[in-house]
Amino acid sequence: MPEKKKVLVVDDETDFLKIVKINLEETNNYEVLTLSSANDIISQVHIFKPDVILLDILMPGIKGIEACEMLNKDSMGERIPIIMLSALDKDTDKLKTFKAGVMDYLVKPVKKEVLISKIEKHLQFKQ
Amino acid sequence: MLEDISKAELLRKYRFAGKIRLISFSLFFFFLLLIKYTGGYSYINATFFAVIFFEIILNQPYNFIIQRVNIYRFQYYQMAADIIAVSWMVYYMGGIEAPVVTLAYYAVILWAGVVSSAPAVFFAVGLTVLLFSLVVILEYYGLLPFTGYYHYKMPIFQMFSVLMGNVSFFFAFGYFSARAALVIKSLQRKRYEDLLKHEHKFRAIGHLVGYAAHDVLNHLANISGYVELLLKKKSGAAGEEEMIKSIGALTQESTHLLSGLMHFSQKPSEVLKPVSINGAIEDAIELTRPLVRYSKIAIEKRLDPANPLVMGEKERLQEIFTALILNAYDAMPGKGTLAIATALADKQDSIKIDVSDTGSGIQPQDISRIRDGEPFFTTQGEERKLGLGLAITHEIVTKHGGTIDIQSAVGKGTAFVIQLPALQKEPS
Repeated sequence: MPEKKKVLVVDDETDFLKIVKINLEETNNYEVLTLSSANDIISQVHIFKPDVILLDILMPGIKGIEACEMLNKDSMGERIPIIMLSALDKDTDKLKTFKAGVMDYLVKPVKKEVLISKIEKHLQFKQ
Repeated sequence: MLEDISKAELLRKYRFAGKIRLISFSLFFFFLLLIKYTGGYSYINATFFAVIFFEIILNQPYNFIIQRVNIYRFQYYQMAADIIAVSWMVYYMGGIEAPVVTLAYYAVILWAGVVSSAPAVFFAVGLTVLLFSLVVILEYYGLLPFTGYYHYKMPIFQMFSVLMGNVSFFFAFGYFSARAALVIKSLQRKRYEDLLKHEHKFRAIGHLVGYAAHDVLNHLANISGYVELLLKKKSGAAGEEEMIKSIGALTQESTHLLSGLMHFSQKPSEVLKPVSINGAIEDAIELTRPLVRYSKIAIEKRLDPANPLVMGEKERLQEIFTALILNAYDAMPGKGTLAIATALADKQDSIKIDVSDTGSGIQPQDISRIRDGEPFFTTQGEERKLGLGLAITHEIVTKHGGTIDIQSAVGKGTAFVIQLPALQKEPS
């Protein structure tokens, strides 16, 4: 059985975290860790060692883009592909995230199949 | 902002007035042509027509000029040109013997009152009196060639009586024109104030809508996610009830967010009812929650549940607290604390509401302007104009028979202390 890939999901919406966790874990291909804020993202990345990170933009405390910049400065964080997941659909928001080093941007609601295919694409790219 | 509106209004009036001038001067031109060739008035000569024609021509580049010059200064040049032209016509048509043409002076004075302002009326009356007196006196003493039709030289007393009579009428008419100008200005100001009040409210709504829409979209995304999961599950499967409950909660939350915005955007009912101040504060906090939630601002509430009600307009009272929260939000771009406390005042006859932030504070010279409720005054720049609500806050508090006091220290924060009269309980 192939090793499960690790996905870290950071979003202040607990319902969203629950849905993504169920959707990914029921495929039996992923191990999911959810965080409801990005405040401890660096320490959690070092503990969990994710293969891919799903990140929300607008969160109380540290925002998605700030978290992204923090990860880019971290020796481990800079090697992990980040996919932004947000309800914000403006091109300016997307551009800001790409400038901050995000690999992909998905607008909520995201179909399970689309999410998984994006994760797979970035995992292959990383390998 | 007010200057922009009043300038636009002045331009609109000037464009309209330009058309009126064009029509009246053209009619005057043809009237003179008619009387010259039917009555044989010799003094209506080519120069006379040239002056009037010049006035008509002047109207053509009018729209072009008023777009490109300082309209406030331009109106004085315009009046001066008109009064000089009228004085010249008065002289040419017989000086003191030309009472009909002096009516054109009244047109200019009326114009100044209706289109411009009270100072413009004083300017028009002053220049009219000066030039008319000069024409009459210089002509009387032979310093200007005599143009009177009847070739009758009045005794000096009669000349001064006629002159003083005209001057008195100019002043009296000027007085009424200036009064009209002041009434028109106050009506305009009221209209602009109403306009800006709405603008402030819509600006605040616009800001809040973005965040509320973000939250509602998130809720819809989650509902869609749950539905997708439920469709794949068998009926009665584990977690099904929990998901359905979550869908219910998310729907309720979205409805709550949207109805809060809808109520805030509605026109106030203007009906005075017993209102709970704590309730109005809670509503304002709820309304601004999507905005504040994503900031680094903590809201601390200390609302005394024993507070009596106040008599007022619920929507307008909520507007006060929304404005103060948004003001604090603007004042604290980084981290900060917004403390809101209510309690019965020492004299037990009013409720004291203390709204304080740890923001940038207000400069001492600006405090008195806010304290006086100066309309349109904001301590924030163009980009952060939610603070326009301070003037509205002052107005609403005063309308409810209350008082507002501001204490602020630059770099430390601002405290707004509002006192609203408490509704006295009827003796049982």
